[in-house]
Amino acid sequence: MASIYNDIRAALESHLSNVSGIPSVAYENVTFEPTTGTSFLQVMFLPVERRPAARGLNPQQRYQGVFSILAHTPEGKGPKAADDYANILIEAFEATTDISFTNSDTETIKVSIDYAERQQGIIDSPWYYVRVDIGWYIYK
Amino acid sequence: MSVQSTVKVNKTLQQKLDKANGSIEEAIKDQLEHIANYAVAISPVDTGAYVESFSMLSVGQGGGRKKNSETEARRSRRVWENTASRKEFTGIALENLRQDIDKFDLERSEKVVLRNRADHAQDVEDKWGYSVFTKVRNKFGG
Repeated sequence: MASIYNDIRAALESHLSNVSGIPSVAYENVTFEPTTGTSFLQVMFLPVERRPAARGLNPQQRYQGVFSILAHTPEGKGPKAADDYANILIEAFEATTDISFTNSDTETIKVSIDYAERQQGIIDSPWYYVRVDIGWYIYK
Repeated sequence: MSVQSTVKVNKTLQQKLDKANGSIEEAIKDQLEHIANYAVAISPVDTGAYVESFSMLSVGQGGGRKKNSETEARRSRRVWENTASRKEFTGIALENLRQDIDKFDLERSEKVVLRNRADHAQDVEDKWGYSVFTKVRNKFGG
């Protein structure tokens, strides 16, 4: 079912919301006014592939994609804060982690984490940010 | 007394090996073209500067294409203003990448790098959320 994407997003976002030690989160298409000087995370849900996992009619599908989190910290204050957030996120979404989520139809899905990796820090005034990419997949 | 055996690689066997190498090279180039097609397909296109700035290079090879989106010529022809077509710019981008792939000496190249040197490439990736390279890495690895 196409709504699997809603469930995958919900699984990843609710897992993130339970991580401690992180700042406010700016979710996609939700109004968020960042305050200069205050760190925040920005998330992007990026579905990449949907392919049959087996031959035949009505095969199970493998879905995969990336959950990207940009850790924004104040510009000019050094990289430590963004690095610390990146470390927390990588640990929370470490490869081989399975994230369960029960939707409103009481159906439980399990999203598996394939990898969690960070990119270099970038200045985007008035922010300095580090991107953490979390590769996920699920068979459904 | 030592024992040894000598195998002469006759012409037929050498021809078979050459043919196998040719097939492998073709398969690798097909895969590189697949990556190029995907990267271009998921890229945003307005002035064409971003897609035309893609290059495929050997690891360690510097440079690559770099187009400026702020030139008068670019600003006057924009997909988002319907004064140019996406197909036109993506066609140029794909042709560029095919030329790069054709030039590869696969026997000497250990890794291939997809690069975009447009000034706004980082903004396309993160700020505007297109995440072109993130998706390419997820789909093809590397």
